[in-house]
Amino acid sequence: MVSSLERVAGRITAPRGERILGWATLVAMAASAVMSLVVSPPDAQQGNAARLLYIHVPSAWLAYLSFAVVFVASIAYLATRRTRWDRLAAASAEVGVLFTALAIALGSLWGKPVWGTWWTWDPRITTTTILLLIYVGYLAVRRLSDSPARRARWAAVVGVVGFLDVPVSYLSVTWWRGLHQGTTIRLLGESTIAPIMQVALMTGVFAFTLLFLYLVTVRLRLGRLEDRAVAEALSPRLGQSAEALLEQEASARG
Amino acid sequence: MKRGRVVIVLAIVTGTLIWVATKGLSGNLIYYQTPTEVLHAGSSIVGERTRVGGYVVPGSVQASGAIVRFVVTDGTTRLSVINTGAVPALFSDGRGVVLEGTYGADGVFHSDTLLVKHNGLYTPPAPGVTPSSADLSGGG
Amino acid sequence: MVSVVPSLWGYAIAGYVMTAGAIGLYVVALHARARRARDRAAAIAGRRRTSTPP
Repeated sequence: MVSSLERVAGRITAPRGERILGWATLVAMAASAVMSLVVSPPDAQQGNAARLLYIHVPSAWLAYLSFAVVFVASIAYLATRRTRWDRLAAASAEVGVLFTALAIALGSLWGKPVWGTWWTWDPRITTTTILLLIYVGYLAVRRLSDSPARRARWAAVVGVVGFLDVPVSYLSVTWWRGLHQGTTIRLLGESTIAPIMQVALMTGVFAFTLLFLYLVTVRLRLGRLEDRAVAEALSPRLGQSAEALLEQEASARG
Repeated sequence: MKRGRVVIVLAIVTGTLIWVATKGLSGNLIYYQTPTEVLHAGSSIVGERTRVGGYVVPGSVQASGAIVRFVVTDGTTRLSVINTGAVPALFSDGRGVVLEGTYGADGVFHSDTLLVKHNGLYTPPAPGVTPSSADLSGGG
Repeated sequence: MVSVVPSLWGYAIAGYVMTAGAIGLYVVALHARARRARDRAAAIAGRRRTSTPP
């Protein structure tokens, strides 16, 4: 099963796959923009400010998704010591930091007209800000060591431990009192959103998920190219693959 | 040289992390207190800066100049509020609000920050209602 | 009490512009970084092939 998954992943990350994914993302994002800004009605309470829901929630979803991928890839790296898992963790963390920051910034922008403040120390906001700082730290840790194996190992530890804050951030609205609203879309029980607005929101979540796949794909290609440059510089023999070299180094350091 | 910069960045990130954690998670994660808790604490919290959350009792809102008086409730206890801060557009009867300020010896909560808690309900406006503050080109 | 629905388009537009800007900039930066990394790998490989190892 793992090998067939890898085959699918390989097909997506091939140049043609990347291009097709890029166009699909663009189309989905355009559809989402039309749904959010034209098709969806304004909200009875918030007017057009409620349209921020369609980008704020997908951004937060990508933040959680990214760090979940970092978590899984970090465990996989620690278990197998294969460079590709480290590259996946690095790629996903970078995308995650972007969308965590975006979710916070959009929330701030939304909070001003609806709550009456740009910022407050609500549990959801606090735990999400902590999440951002953890993964900014993760990216910094990745630059600390010159040894690819040590870098990957340190990063994997942060990637596993840091993930603890994701469920805390997600559940903060049910665990503690705060200003942030609870979950609007519920898997069990009734959602508190009109059907047309829910469709717009789901379109946004879908488009952003495609965007995540595209960004990680491009970032993975960048990681491979960087590793190749390092390997070319270190390679004792011409023609030896970068992959093999880095893994040799990893196993040598254990 | 390069590593030195990374260490500085890491130190700043860690410092900020600790600052955010203490700032946001102090008070045992109690973002606001209920009117019942405030009255229960009584004189022990007079003059102390705190947050109170509750629903605006319908019909209790009285505005005079920049000052708004109203009553909040958590279903069991009512607490009078005098707010001197800005009033968000979504403030109205029955809304959930969070107030920042101090509980006075007069038994009234003196708030300087009024925040409206959104109920997480998203619905289109009633038929024929166009979102607009004054103009007709509100669009929708 | 007659409830008036506020317009608040400004906040929505600002949010969408910010989102488009952030995503657009990141995509452009990623491709630029990938191009630079590819050129660097090619340059190093080129140097190695023209010079003999010690």
